[in-house]
Amino acid sequence: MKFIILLLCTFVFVSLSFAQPKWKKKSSPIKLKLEFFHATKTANFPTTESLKSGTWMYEISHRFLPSIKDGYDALFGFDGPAKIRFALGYGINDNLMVTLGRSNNTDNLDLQFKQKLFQIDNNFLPSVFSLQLGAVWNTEVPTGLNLSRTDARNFQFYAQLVFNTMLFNKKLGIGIVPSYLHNSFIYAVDQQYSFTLGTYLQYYLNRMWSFWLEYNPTIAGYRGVIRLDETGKSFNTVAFGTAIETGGHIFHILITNNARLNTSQYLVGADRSANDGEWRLGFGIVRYF
Amino acid sequence: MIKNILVVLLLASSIQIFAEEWNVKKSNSNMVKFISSTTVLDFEGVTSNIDGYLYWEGEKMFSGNNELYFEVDINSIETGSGKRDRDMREDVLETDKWQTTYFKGKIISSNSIEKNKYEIKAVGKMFIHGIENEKEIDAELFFNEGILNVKTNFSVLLKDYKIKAPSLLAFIKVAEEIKLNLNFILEKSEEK
Repeated sequence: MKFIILLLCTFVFVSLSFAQPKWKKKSSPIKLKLEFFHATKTANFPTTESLKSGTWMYEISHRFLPSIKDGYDALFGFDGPAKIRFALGYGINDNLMVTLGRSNNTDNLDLQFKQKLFQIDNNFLPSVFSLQLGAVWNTEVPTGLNLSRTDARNFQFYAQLVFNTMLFNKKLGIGIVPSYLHNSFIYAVDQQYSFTLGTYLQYYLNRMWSFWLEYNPTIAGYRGVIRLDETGKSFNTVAFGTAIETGGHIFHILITNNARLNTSQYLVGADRSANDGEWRLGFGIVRYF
Repeated sequence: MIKNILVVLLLASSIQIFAEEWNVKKSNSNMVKFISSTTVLDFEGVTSNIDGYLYWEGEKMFSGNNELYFEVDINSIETGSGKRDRDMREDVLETDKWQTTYFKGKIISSNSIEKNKYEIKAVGKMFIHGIENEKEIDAELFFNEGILNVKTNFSVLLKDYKIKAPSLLAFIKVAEEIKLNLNFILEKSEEK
């Protein structure tokens, strides 16, 4: 009897050990890179996000020049005129993107490259760092000025180190963007520079709605005008508003004291003081393809 | 007693259950594609990142005990838009919670349609977005030079998996019915 039980047990054991798939998973689950902000840029600053290789981005932004306090007669600024920026971006690879933009302010052509540098993936302060470099050509020659369109003085260069992190269960995005601008005022006899410390916060209520705030103080260097028909000086930039995300578009609707759009102009500072109540409306639309 | 044990071991060593196992051969030519089609906008997502196995016992193919399992890492799916990929991962399929989707089941019928080519019907559990549902899938299997090619087309309804159709453009949402096309290869497992 014992022999039969032993035989049956052995048979069952051997059968079971043979009769099952031996498959094992060939690769571990894919670990994604850190992604924080939902767009490659905020209203005015770069984020560390990049375009995916081979994909495109289109941007159009407006900053209306009349103040909100001009009231209904200027439709709170919407009657215009406005400073406008168009830009087209392309993902060279998953970590490097190029953007060509143009603003009607001094017909400023802006070529920028943004490279994702590295990330620190931890629970305490997950972080990503990127570097944005830009070369700018101001193609407008003011009337009466004896200056070639291709004169070296019309070119500007800038560098921006971008730090991003996301806290509170991916709700609060934080950005710090120290920025250096070379040749801040293209009509200056001596070349100027500006160094600013851009900061921004964005709080995501949900996938569609978020609110944000940007502040860009000039730490050192030039903070004057950027055009010959301007007077006075420039001011630290403040901008705040909402971002609405839907179907591949991100809309930024904002209030700011700075109507300058392209980076080499924005970095010099705001054309109005935030203390004088000269707030203007603006918007930006980014579309990803 | 020792004699009995020796006899048992001898018998055990002679037990052999005929079984075959075929595992997914990792290849960039493997294709798992989903298609969302609406009247105004179509888009698709593709990955080659499928893994799993097909196993059966018995000399006659699929007639005895059999089992199949195939899984896809959703984080590998690309739709051609980085932003759409991210939205799909983070908001729609929530891959931080459920990164893998799978189908586990068995073949309940097979029909040889020509030499080395079979039409099969499988039933089992389809797991997407944390929800497991019964699913019946028709597929075509083609054995050729040591490779088994699997082709299948079927659909899933987003609501069956508690997936809320996201917007593609303002007022235009992803189709409720998502079509899936799979075409991948398996190779015979050499592991004993």
